[in-house]
Amino acid sequence: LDTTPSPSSVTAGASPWRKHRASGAPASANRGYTLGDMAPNPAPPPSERAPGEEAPQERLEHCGPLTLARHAKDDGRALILFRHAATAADEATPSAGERR
Amino acid sequence: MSELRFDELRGEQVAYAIHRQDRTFLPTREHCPLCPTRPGGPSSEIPFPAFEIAVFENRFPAFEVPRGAAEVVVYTDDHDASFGTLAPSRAEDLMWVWRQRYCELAAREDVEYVMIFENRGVEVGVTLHHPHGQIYGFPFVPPVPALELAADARLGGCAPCALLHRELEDRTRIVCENDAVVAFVPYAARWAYEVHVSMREHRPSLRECDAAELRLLASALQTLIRGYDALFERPFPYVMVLHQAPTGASGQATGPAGAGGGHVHVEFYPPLRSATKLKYLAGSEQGAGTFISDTLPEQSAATLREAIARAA
Repeated sequence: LDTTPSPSSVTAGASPWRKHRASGAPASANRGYTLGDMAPNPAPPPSERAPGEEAPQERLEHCGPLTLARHAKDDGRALILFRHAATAADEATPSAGERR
Repeated sequence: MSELRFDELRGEQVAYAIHRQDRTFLPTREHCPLCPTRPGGPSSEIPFPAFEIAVFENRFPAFEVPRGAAEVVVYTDDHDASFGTLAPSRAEDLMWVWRQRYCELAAREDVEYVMIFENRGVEVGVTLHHPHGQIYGFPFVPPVPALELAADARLGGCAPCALLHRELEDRTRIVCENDAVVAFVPYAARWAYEVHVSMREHRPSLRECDAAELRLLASALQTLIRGYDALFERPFPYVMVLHQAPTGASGQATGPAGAGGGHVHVEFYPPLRSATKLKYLAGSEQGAGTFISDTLPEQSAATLREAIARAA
């Protein structure tokens, strides 16, 4: 998805959307996919993990000044957490105490 | 699973989502499903001890795959906040979240129209007090945006652009403005304190807005909502709806040539007509579809300007 502001892309008479469905979805489910399917690397809910299987590494995306992390809730519903990039960067930087 | 039925008399769809009858209704603060899940506390919809902005698929959706979407947007982990009291940076972030969700849902084959909205106050049926909004991905273009497209055709161009031009010439109904956004009580307002917050430039959706415009949109919305809260010195109930271009396969082509088929504006429908009186949709509104208002838009605009000044 293009998430870059682009006022110059304002054009009349043309759809900006390339409609698509989830990869691997059967043709009969042409219109059937979930927000989680849209995620590039959605984490399966804990209930679907094999015993001992660790949660996959979350994959961050960016949206303007925000980063977003996609998760799957226990019942399979999608959850996205948006964080301001500056906040995320602050937390990623070790504090003075940690550096020592 | 919701069911759509077409009302032949009115020429419109009706959605039946009977599972919503059992949705969470005004829970105690301790059991708020939109608060973070704190250690030792009850689990909520957001299984993290803190968060900034969270979006998740509605547990009780009016629309769901393969025919649309319903999402919840939680503005903050602070149960007692409101859109108007968010830090300006958080309100600005929320505009980016709206933009991201619009773009992602627009790309789905089963979504023809993305409606981002907030219901505030028990007067408009709010069932959770934690500050949040919702997003519906309609599998069809609903009547109101369809009427806006018809207005484009009738006026021979972008109707919101034409109406904004008229308001800027008249100026009596403008309540606040900045470099990118103008807020006004519309000429034919249906609600006593209805306000439309419109982008100055023609922007079919938030996708076409630049960062400065998103920041100024957030600022104008907060200015207005704080003014609303100052109007009767109480949290002001409203329905707030972001209007953008339909997202069907034909997309903006559904509008007339040169119109763009959409113009970013936020409409507020507050049910209060005075500090203690609600406007009800009764005989004329329900049976004939004609609103009867007790308040002139010009008077409401003057009153709102004073309230916004008090809140500043």
